[in-house]
Amino acid sequence: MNERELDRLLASAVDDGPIEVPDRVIETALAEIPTTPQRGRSALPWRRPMFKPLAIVIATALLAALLAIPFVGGAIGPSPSPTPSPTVPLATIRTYTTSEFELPIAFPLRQGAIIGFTVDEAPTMVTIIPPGSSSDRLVLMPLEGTRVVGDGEEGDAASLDALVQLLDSRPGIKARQLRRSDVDQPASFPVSGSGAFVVEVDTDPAAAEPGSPLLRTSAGETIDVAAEPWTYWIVPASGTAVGDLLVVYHGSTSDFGNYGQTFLSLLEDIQPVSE
Amino acid sequence: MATSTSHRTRIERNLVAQAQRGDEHAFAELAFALGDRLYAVAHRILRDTDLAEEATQQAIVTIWRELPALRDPDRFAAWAYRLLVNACYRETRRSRRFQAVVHLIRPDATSDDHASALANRDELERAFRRLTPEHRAVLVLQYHLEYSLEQISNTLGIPIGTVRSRIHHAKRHMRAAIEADARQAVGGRQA
Repeated sequence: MNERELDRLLASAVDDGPIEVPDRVIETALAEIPTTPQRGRSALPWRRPMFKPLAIVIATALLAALLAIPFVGGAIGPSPSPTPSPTVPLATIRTYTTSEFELPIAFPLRQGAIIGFTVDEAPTMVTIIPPGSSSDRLVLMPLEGTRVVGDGEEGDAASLDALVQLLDSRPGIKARQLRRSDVDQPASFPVSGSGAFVVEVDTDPAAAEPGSPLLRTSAGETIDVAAEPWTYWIVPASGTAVGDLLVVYHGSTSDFGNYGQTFLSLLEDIQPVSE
Repeated sequence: MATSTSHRTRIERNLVAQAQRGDEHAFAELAFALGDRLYAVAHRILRDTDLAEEATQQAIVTIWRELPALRDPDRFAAWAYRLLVNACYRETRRSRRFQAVVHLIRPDATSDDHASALANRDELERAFRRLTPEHRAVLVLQYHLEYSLEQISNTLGIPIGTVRSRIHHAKRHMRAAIEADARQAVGGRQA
């Protein structure tokens, strides 16, 4: 099949479909408008409205991680203390802002909090996991130790590595890209030590068959992961989540490069404005 | 034709400006004017009527909520498509239907004509459904909206290199799926 024939087939595939929306769809949406406040007419308009939730998630997680690092033995900047205080008074509230997103963030971060966050559009998905608690998250793992199973794009592994390097470049943060060999015993999957990098996909726990080359879906069907390398590989992570930084990502791994750069720029951009 | 398009664009720009100031009637008019285009794109990405309707509704509400932050009304369409595509991504995650797309049920080919087998709508549909939502989105923007790489980049908010990569891999997956089906059809006939 030549390129022109493929183009013709693709055009045909996307041509097929409705071109008119039922009125009730619009009417249903419009019914929500009177009770949906508009954003952005406030004093702080978002410069990048589409990116804002992601920025919130990343910035929140970064700040939380930075604040958490002293609790777990890390150090930031050139002011090491021989005996770092293991505690920070709960009353200590710091407010930060980012010039890029004009995003104020305030923290009362309690002692020993373990930070988990998701790179997603929903800021509510930011989670702080209490020490000693367990996570029943599902974790998307690279297959065969090297290949990232995202959407199968060739650049995935390099993008992931680049983001890990970005994380690693920050003082006090040690990123670890989890690989399949880490989850031979998925029931006790460890997210522990000096930091962890976890990619998560949101799906049905019942769909996962850890260690099997086949993934059984909620519909009772199976995916041969080796034959369909762009299919998500899902492993339940029900072990104790202990780490400096738990990154949970929803979406295509091909975007890691972008997020990684944003990650870094936000980190450098965030400045304390009051204490 | 050009005048008509220009007129429509001017009306749309005025509606956007009014809606940005909180005019619900203007937004309703805008939503009805935009609805078909949004729905068509959503359906082509999601390949499911219910999901497409849900994504379109979500996008419209989000457009209303975020509209005051749109700085350039001339970029409204691209901006709205971006919100829509994100709504489509959310729908795929929420519905989890994409994770349930697995082995294809390949019907026996009844025709000796390879080309006709390739043209089979069902095969094409199944191949398309095997793509990730991100891959479908770039293909829909490219082939349905006939966007350039730069327009896709601006719409999705991703670098052109990523657009190019996604299109490349999406087409590769489509080609592999279609050719696999064709091989199976040939094998079935030989058996």
